[in-house]
Amino acid sequence: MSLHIRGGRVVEPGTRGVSVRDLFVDETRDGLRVSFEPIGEHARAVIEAAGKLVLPGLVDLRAHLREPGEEYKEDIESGVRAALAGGVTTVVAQPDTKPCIDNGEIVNFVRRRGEATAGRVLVAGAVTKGLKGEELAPIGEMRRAGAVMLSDGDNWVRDAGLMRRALEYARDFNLTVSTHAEEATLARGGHMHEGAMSVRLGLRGIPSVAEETALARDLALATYTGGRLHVAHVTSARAVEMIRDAKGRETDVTCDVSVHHLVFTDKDLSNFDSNLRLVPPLRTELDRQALIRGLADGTIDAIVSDHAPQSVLEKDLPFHEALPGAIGLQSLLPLAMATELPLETIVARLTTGPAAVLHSQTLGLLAAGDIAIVDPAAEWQLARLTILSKCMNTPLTGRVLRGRVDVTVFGGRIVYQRDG
Amino acid sequence: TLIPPELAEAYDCTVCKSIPEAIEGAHVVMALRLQRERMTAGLLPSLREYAIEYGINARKLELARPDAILMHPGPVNRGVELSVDAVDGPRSVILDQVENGVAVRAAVLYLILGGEAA
Repeated sequence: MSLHIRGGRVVEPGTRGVSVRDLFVDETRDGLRVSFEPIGEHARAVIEAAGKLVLPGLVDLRAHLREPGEEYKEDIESGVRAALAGGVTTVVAQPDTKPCIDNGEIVNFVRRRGEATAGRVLVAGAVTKGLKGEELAPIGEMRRAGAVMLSDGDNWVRDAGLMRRALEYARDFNLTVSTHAEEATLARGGHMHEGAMSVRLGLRGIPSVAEETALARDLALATYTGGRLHVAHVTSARAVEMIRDAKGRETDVTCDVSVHHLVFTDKDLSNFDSNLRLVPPLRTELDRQALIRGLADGTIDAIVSDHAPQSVLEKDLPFHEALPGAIGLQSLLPLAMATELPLETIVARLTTGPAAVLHSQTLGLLAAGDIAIVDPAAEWQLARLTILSKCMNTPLTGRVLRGRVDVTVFGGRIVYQRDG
Repeated sequence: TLIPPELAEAYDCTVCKSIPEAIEGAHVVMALRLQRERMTAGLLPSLREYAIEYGINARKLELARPDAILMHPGPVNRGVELSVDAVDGPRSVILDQVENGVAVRAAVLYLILGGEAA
């Protein structure tokens, strides 16, 4: 069925810019065609989009879908459902599942489960076997099975020699190695950012240098090997500076920021809400502002949800005992829109930015037929009745969100429509 | 190493590098028990070094005001954070402090459990 999206404000960063236009999505013999002009007579379903934003389907580089192994927290199907409701049509599934995604068989498994959903699931394979940081995982095999990126989840590869080999080996398969820059001995025992707040709250802190020292090593290795490095969820101002500097010197590095870090800081932890127990931790307002500036000037390529479902069993605990993470697929866009950033930048960091990290020419563009129609003024809240994820661990309860997805289109087909 | 870097900022206090510096002119000297776990976390080279550098004894106490008192919530690691002559010395109010502490805790628990202040 062809679509006619009428009168919406189309935002396609980098290519078609921002304009109020009609959009036509037609299934032709040569494939899907998305254009501003109706060509040919097709029966089209009309979607009224006056006053709404028409965006390319969002691309989320980091989501923990918990399948295989922890399906009580989330599975690929429920995760994608939550994603589509948030206008996210492409999700990169993190490999920290049980068992972790460290061979071609499991890459295949996750990919096939993803194909059974209404959205697109891309798979990040592990850098090391078992995410243990000891031996390289079969990167070539995972690549052939369809892995798009490598990541050791929330573990930093401690062995510098191994990280060097990973960068070199992955480079020859055109794969990017994503790093979670956190030096374990500096971060040891910490539960939140080390600063005046952690002193006041009496919690052990994770200093920014845990991120910066790890990052320094990885940037040096990336420069030396010519490998492709992606830095996951940057949090510190100094880290942003280091990446800006490395990019200026043509190191092949990209990075992302987790959306909650754009909106919350360590000052928000005074009521010990375990839903704000995040890894890496929320840092100070100065760090937050540096993250915003990094997004504005393109140092930071993408905003991610870092969707990390944790059930009540893992969260309804004292702050320092709770497992870290918050869900984020449904609220990714409205939270990003709540920042000081201009709309076009936000959309770019959620579409073409992540697509570039994945070295994809097709993702993040309207031509793929992945479209999100958003009501920018709609106010809503994440609550038991609206949350589609299996878990409810969000710090946004009771917070009014502005911006809600009305319709999500994937490959030219409507896959989500808000009721009511 | 036992002091968090941001302490001065968080609590608007002065952080000193040595015991004599901190005790000089004090009205009240409050010592805290060194938890032995801190030792194994690599925060200190050894108990002996801690006792020599940071332990409070009667001689160091003389730097405080003549009417200064010595406090410690207990239990005291004698010979570590406080020397025997400090704990048992004339400035020490530790025994009264501990006795009062029991009463205060009992009162707090009583009030939390729904009792009413007299």
